[in-house]
Amino acid sequence: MKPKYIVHEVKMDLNKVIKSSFRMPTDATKIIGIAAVCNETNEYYKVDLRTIAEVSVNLNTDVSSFFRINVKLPQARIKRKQELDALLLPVKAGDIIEVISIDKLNTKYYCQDSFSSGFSTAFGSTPKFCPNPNYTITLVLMYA
Amino acid sequence: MKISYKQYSFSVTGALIDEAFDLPSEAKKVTGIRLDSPEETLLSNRGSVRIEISNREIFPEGFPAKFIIFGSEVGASERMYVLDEVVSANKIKLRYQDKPSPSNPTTSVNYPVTLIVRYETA
Repeated sequence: MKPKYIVHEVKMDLNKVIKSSFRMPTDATKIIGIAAVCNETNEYYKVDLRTIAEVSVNLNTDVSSFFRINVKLPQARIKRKQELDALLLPVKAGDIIEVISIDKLNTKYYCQDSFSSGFSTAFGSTPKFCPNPNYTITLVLMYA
Repeated sequence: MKISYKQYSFSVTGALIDEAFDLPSEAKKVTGIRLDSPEETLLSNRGSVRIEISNREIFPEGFPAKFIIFGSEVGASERMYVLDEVVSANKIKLRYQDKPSPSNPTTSVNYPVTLIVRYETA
């Protein structure tokens, strides 16, 4: 059973909740894993299916930009806990995967105004202008 | 059975690079793959790949390069994305896409990338 991948890209926008979705393809029977990457950090993030399924990622802490991405899976199909423990979530063709993403903090406000304390103290650095807060999240779903 | 490695290099000089490489004729199975570049941040934040081995799609269009890059924090013997692909046609096709990222917004970049393939011979 060889894995296949679905790539789903979300362009983040300041202070907006971005809702998007995609459908499982006709040959899909199980979700094996999900991960998310951002084009501004060097790390990637596995999504734990057991928590159905949320990943929260810290982007550029000294600029105070955060994102949170929620992936809604077809929970009705979960029959046994073991299926989740094995990261094998049954799906069928056409199941809709919803993706809800949000830039968690008020990045625009933070970047444009000069903070004399607050965030700068909290982050232990001088506030900076955010070079380009419109970054992209790419979600990769592995299925068989 | 013997394990060998083969490196293929190309330059990213535009938004879309299409390359086709020949696997060694003695290769029977591809067991691992990874990307590398001296410009690791560019590769990681701007790159995505579609890879085909023996006419079978392994990674679809837009697959983040970040998933098949391994830095020095990973043990040298573990720096491979594990595959199990029987070689029927000795070809690897790669489509590399370069997109600006917030930290590197310029559209004209030029950086070298190496594709490293681990394979088994009979």
